[in-house]
Amino acid sequence: MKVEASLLRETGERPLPASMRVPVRRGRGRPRAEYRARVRSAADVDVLRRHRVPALLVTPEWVSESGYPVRFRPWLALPEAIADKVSSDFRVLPVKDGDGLREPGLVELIALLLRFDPLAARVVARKNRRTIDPHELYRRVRNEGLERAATKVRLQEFAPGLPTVGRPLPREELRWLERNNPSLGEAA
Amino acid sequence: MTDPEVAAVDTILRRLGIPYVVVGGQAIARRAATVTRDVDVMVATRDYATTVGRLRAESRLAFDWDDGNLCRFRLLDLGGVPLDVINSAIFAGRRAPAEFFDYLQHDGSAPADGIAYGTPEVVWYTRLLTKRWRSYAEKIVTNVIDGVPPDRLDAVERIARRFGTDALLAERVAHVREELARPDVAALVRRG
Repeated sequence: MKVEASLLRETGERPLPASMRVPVRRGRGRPRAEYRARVRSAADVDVLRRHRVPALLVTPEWVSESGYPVRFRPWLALPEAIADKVSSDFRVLPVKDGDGLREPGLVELIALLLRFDPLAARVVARKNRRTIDPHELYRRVRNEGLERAATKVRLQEFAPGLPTVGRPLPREELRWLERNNPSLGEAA
Repeated sequence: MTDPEVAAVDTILRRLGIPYVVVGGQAIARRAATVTRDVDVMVATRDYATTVGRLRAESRLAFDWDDGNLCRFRLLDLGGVPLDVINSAIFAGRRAPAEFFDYLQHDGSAPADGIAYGTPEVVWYTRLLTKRWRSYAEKIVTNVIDGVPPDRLDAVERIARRFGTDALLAERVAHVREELARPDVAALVRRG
């Protein structure tokens, strides 16, 4: 048995623009046609979000503004249930709980970074430790099953109670890393 | 296009006539996207002390510290971005101290916009040889997720054999391979 998810247009809702629809199959009855969403730009992601699809572009600008100056090819974060329903030029980053993608804040960014750059997640958490909600960080890490990555970069310092899974990186190494990465415009 | 941080360092070192190769994240950035702002440059061991001395006289740099193999400056015009000057001798293993920089210049780097950048395997080799190798192993995993082919680790092993550091590096390279084999990481590498 497997569970399949689909993107369906609700009654009265405008369809996605034709340029963002890739036909998958045509059938009789309703829905008559099944499409995949095609996402090629940040504007396409905005269109998806306006259609209440919890898609989120994780950009280097967002990470840099949050305290870790870095560049990378953006990731398109999507709930894993619909990740295969979207064709994209962006790399797709599936997440278990799509609700966090609807109104993303620093905690969501940290949880996303844990997947592909845990050291960046650590620096963002440290530089924003006064504003992040430890309970929310705990919840997001647990929901996504990211305890091992979180332990590696000692996120328990910012979300006490997070279970320790695996071996943390030496504290001194993490301090070295934080000192080596001044924020944009941050004085030495 | 050259990053402003690298361009600033290049302007100074070129004026001083000091041969160098960019290593660290800025060198990796030629092949994969991830990079931080700090600049690491490696110089020949015969040039290290002279380089540090001349850079200390530069008004646009602030001197932080020097342990004889690694010297930290900050680029004052760029918000205090760290500039690390690295003595190449510490990576020469069992060979003569000068040999690593010779290797770096001739076989372990490639030019872009007139600046020599270390290859990913050289950067990974140097990172895995440091005492903070565990954190750097994490960066290597991120580099691979970001597009550097994982088979560059084979090249790291070849460099280690050349300089006789293979016994020390074996466990560290194996650690990186284990991390890359984790299902969540492997899935991201495939998506990249």
